[in-house]
Amino acid sequence: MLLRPTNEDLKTVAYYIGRLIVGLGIVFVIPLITALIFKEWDRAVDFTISMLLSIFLGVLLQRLFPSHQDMNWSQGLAVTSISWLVAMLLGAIPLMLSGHYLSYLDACFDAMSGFATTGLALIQNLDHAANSLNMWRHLMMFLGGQGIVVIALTFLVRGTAGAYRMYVGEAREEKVLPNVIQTARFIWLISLIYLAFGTLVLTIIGFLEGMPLIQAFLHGIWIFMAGFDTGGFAPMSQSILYYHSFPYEIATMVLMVLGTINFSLHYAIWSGKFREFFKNIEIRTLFVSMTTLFIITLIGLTQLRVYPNWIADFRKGFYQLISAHSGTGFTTIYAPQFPTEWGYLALLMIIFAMAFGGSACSTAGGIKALRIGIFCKAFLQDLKRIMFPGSAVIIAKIHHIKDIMLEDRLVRSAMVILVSYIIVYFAGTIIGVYYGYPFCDALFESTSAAANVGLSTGITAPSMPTGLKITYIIQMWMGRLEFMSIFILLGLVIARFTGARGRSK
Amino acid sequence: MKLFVCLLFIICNLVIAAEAAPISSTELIENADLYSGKIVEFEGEAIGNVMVRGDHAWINVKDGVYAIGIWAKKEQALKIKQTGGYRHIGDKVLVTGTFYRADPQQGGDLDIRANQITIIQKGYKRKLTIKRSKFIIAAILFLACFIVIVYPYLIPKRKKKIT
Repeated sequence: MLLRPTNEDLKTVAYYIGRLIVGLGIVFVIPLITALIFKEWDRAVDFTISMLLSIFLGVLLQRLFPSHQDMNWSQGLAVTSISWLVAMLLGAIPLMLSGHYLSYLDACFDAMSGFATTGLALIQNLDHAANSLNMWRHLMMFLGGQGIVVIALTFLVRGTAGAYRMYVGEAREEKVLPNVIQTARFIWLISLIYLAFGTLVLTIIGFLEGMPLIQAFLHGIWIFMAGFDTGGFAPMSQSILYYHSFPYEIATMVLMVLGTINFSLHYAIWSGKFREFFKNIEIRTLFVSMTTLFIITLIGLTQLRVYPNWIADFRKGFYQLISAHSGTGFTTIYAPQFPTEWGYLALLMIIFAMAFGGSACSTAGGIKALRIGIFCKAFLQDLKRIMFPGSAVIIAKIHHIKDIMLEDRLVRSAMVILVSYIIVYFAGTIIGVYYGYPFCDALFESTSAAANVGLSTGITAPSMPTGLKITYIIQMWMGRLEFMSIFILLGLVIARFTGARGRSK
Repeated sequence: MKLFVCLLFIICNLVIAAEAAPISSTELIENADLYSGKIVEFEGEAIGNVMVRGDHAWINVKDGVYAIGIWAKKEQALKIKQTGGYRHIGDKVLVTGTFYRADPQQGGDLDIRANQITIIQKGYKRKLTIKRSKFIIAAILFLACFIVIVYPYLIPKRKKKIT
């Protein structure tokens, strides 16, 4: 029986959303400073408006709905799912004010794409965008990749049980460290260290490849944010192809791989447990999956003689595959080249790579290697049960930081998310086909949106139907939060009207 | 007969003119196989940076839809004085060169190896203005923020009755 949320429940949700909005308002300071440094006065005004509006709304919510309650499970998850929508609406304001978008919906699309680290974009005239606007676009990816709630946990929320509930709502069940606040801070620490190192490397490469130092630095920091957070936005419309640089491609490939690794594994390696890297089920699954998909992609590309030599096969085939598998969306080819040149086999492998995604508790999207690994292990276990004598006791274990028994409960929870993703991939495909796009292109784009990848066959454009834009926004939102907090939000809405009176714990 | 020769001459000239007209980026990318290895003319704005690599350089030229990489000799590329960005509209250039769907020398990039780059229109500074309404909105929001933050401190707190 569903319990009807009380006014007190709604007040608590509104109060914590208010706190998160204030946090977002403070973040606008970064692009504002960028605008002031580069004397982009019009953009500075845009970011000032966005900052003031966010702070006003955030403080107003806290004043109107003061609450000192800790959050229960449904409140925590509802705060997370609503916060992402509110972040999209507020994050879209400076985008819209910049004049680079046809409509506010297009700006919302890019804001959700940024926060959800997808990388699909409807921005127009990107090559003439201001530095501060690019800073905001890439910062959204960095914040979204770490998790908006992780930011709040680090700076705004004290260590409470409610904090953990918000954290889980953001598709991060794993605690790297015993305390959720420590975990959030570790995620930030690791990201900032990589940020410094990655930006330095990309700046040097950019400079050596002929870019002015300041431009090389700015591109370095932006590409790092979009690469490590498996986002996929780029400051130029050609994405990584703009640089025409093999070293830049290698550096971004390393970033994408680092971004797709579980933060728990980063911690294990940082703690000197190098053997974990080879034993971990996620790494093994990713290795097998990437190798298999790359070999088949290569067969598809060579069969059609898409590229003239092995170097080109690697630079184009492997790069797009890593980009798809890690959920990044950087590309070194033009969107129409996927459907017109790559052929169905290679295209299908890219779709599979996008659908599988990276590691759990990373910045990557998709079903996740851990769930694929659990599914494969459970499948093998069931096969053994059929083949072995009835008296045989079949026990299966997986290794993820520690040895874990493969229990039905674990398999069921992995399967629920796996099936949810597949349903969402196909739901988006059906809507794409309804709007008249070919099945393969629609499947590609829908998977890319729901798995937060950002590769495109060319469907995503300002001219695409409004219904499809809204569909992809919902897919990006659902894919990033991995459904549970959104299901809880829907449950709360339904319970508000049909539930029984009572107090939820 | 004379009329027929004249018509033929006009048609031939029209065909030659049509062939010589610059090809759009959409046409090149969507029918890359058709044009690969052929000499094409491509026209657009030079964007980003001229990236010098030894005695050659990369430039990216955009015709409004897609930007295409141009691999040119350094001295040709350095004819471009202004590239497009936030503050500037870049030089408009006409590139004549060999188009490659997947350039074997450039890791499979779709590009044009330029023989000739001609500046057909110089770049210029963009006129950047701020709408006055934005200042008004910012001022209103600043006031609203001030009120909402300071308001609770202006209202005297009710003292709890001690029973």
